Amino acid sequence: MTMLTLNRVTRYFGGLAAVNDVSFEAEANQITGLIGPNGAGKTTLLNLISGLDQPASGEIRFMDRAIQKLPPHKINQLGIARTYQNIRLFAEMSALDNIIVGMHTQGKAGLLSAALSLPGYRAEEKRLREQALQLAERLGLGSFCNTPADALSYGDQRRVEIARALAAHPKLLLLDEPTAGMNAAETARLGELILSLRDEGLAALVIEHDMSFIAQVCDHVVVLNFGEVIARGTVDAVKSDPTVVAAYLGEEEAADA
Amino acid sequence: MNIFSEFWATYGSVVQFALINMLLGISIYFTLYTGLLSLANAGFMGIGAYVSAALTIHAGTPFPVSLLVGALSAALIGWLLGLPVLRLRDVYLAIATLGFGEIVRITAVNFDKFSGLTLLGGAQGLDGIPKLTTPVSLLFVLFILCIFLVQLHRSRAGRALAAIRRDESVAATMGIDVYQYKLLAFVLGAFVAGLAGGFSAHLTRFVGPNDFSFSAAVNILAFAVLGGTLHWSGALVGAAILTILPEALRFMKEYRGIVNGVILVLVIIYLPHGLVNPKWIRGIFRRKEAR
Ligand SMILES: Nc1ncnc2c1ncn2[C@@H]1O[C@H](COP(=O)(O)OP(=O)(O)OP(=O)(O)O)[C@@H](O)[C@H]1O
Ligand SMILES: [Mg+2]
Repeated sequence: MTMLTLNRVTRYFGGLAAVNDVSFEAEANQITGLIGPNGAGKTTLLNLISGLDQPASGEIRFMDRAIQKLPPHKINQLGIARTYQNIRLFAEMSALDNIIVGMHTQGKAGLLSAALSLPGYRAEEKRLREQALQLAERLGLGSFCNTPADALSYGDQRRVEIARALAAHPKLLLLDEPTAGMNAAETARLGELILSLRDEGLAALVIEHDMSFIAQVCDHVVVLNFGEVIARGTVDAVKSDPTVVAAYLGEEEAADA
Repeated sequence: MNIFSEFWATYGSVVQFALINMLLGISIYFTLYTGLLSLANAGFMGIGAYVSAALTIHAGTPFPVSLLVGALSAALIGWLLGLPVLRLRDVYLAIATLGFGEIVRITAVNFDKFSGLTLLGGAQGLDGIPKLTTPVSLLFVLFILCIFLVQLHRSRAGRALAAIRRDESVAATMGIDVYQYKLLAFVLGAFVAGLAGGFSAHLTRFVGPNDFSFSAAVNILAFAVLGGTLHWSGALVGAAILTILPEALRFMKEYRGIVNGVILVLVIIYLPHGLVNPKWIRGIFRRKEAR
């Protein structure tokens, strides 16, 4: 089943086509990789899917619903959650509180029941807290729950962000360079976590530069270059695709020059 | 007892003004806590003052009813104002809400002329309002609000407001309807400012159109700036100090305004987060526990 469909999506910044006529699908129960050289338009694409930015043209469908005009909170409520390339945690809140904020859509207690401390509100708070603790444990954050987010290492901050995104019980998880700042062991553990989440029914779209991570977790890869899809398929097929090789080589030559 | 009644005879009204200003501090705290720089609270105070005073004088309603209807009117106008202006951010929001105080003033001056009624007293204002505000009623309302604030911060709504202040795009991608929550904070602030207006009118026994102008708006902001917005008690501390300080500096005569201003500037420079910092509060408690 197709979960996410992009159909000829385009976004310009001034004269620059950051995302140009991009079409692809992400399947349910699969991890889709989104790779490409720096500036290829990967993050821009994630912003378009999560509603932080709107395409100039084209259509984005999530579970048979056009979402390209919806505001970000509606898109999250439909079941899409994300993390950020440049970690955007609520800095001085604790790791656990960050996760609990991510559970916004999982609660419904209103202001009045909170003000009067009604039993329904207290039961809900307890439930959210327990779920957040479980999530923190699952991501290996158990011992940092009360640490302010900005006092954590990069790797831990990335995991808090992932936990915060998972807290919304999304159907589709968008990850923007989740392993950046992680060591090899952390990266491997994250790979295992993503695979186990997939086995529980989660779909994900993962931006990543680490090709061995991509090979570990992705069922399918989309390659972007200068805002355009230049290849898609299995990791092995894409790796040996001459246009992909040329795109990455071009980047290295530019860096060498 | 004698000393107390002497103190009260001299300073009773200062204490009550401080309590009213604490209400105003709370009212602006709601918006600042959500990351909104709104200067409309003086205008909301004016609405609460006029509506409650007019009710007491012309309709003879009991004080709590006048007070509540005044605050609800401010909240309603706050909602109507918030709908368009909360699309704006930062300094644009500040300017738009500053204009609102002026609208309240002009409306108050001209209301009777246009409506053909004698309700608000035009440019002369409304006087002869019965003095119904008591320290007990003020303390009671303040106490309820403090409990409300404590509960708010622990709640889902309070977390949403805090998240919006930190990073509103991230908050939105976590399913938080940023606009609606901003509206909520704005309306809560308007309601509390309206309450403060009602208390003030029934304490000074007078409401005039110029009481809620630019300088009143800036004063209210100064409460929060001095006390800080990292913790809700900051606005209370700031309001108390800025009410009492001018009295304490009375011996300086014409220089007291300057000294007052210098103190404010020094705090902003050396304590940019204000006087009350939750880290210190937590530190004090931890030290106590350790003993
Ligand atoms: N808000 C913006 N305004 C103007 N140009 C932008 C904006 N955001 C991105 N761009 C440009 O769009 C292009 C794509 O940027 P994007 O961040 O999507 O790349 P990326 O694939 O995520 O790169 P990286 O791997 O470095 O994160 C770049 O040329 C970038 O400079
Ligand atoms: Mg990027």
